[in-house]
Amino acid sequence: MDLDRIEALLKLLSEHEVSEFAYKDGDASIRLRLGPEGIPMAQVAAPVAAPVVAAPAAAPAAPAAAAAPVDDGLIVVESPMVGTFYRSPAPDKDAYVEVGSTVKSGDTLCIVEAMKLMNEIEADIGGTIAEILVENAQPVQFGQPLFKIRKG
Amino acid sequence: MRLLRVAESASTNDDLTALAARGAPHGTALLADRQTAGRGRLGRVWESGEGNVALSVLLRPDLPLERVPLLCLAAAVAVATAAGPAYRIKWPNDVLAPDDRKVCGILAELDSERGQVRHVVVGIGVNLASAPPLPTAASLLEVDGIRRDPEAFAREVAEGLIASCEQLQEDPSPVLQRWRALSHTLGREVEVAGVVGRALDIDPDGALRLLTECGERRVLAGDVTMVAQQSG
Repeated sequence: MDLDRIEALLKLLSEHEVSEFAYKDGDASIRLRLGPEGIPMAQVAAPVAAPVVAAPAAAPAAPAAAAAPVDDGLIVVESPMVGTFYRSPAPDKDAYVEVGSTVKSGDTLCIVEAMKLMNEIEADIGGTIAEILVENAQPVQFGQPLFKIRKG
Repeated sequence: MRLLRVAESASTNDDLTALAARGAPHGTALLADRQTAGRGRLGRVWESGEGNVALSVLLRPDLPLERVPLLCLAAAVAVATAAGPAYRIKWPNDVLAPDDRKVCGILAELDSERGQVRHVVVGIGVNLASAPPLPTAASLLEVDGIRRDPEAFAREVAEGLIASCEQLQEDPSPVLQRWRALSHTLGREVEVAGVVGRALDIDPDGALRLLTECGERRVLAGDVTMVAQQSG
């Protein structure tokens, strides 16, 4: 897939107010998403041999909260901030999700706390929790993968 | 700032979050005379008797996510400033009486989407007139004998926090500087999240820097405990 093709896709996305688009061809895949204020952001997963495509006009100050690189149909949910990862609202409460839990877009997956600021991390898409990548009460970094969700 | 006062709320944070979902603007504050199911960190109960302040403030700041936790520090600055010169802040945002008993607790909840802030609800509980019967808790009244009006106090705190929120959008350093000036933690030997060391400073993102036996460490969450100073 070349740059012109991607540019055309981004244009289409903007024109038709499509916020997200994923495309897979063999082992090359691309995922395009309109960022805040309709700024297109692209995340490209490509085999090493394929040309690396930079995101045209990507929004530098707008990291994806729960970014979603496509990886074998698995969506990775990343931490939007530095903090401590909690799987449940309180130590004696059930975890928000377990491996195998079905989630829909907007469901809370976990809390990331930084200095008594509680950030409930929501699922961006519906699917099944395939993997939980961080232990409860462990520190997490910005952009650290937290969950893998199998779409659908 | 718009202050709504209600006789009772199970949780002012929950009620204000519901108002936020219905479009309540930046700067809306909710004060409850009685809060029946207030929450602290990790699901802990926050008891609030009559005559105390159970306040939540809705903010819709234009801040990058990593700067949003500074609102918790700013809230503590607002409370300590309103309470008077005797009160100090334990990192990140407990307000303490001179004998180290806690007079205020703060818990903020962020609603974000794709790295952008939708809103932040900052919950602030202040033991104005009474405190739960715990050795670690105190009320402002028993500390300094001053009887304060909850609504006037809540207004001052909410206005201070909203002003700091607007300042944080421009430049966080004045807010951090006010926090340092009111800090109880800096310079002390403390334990937080299993890390023991001398509290050196706070970083621009509000993280506490500790000098440990194994060098400097940064902490971003956890309860600070004073480590008893050894004599000699």
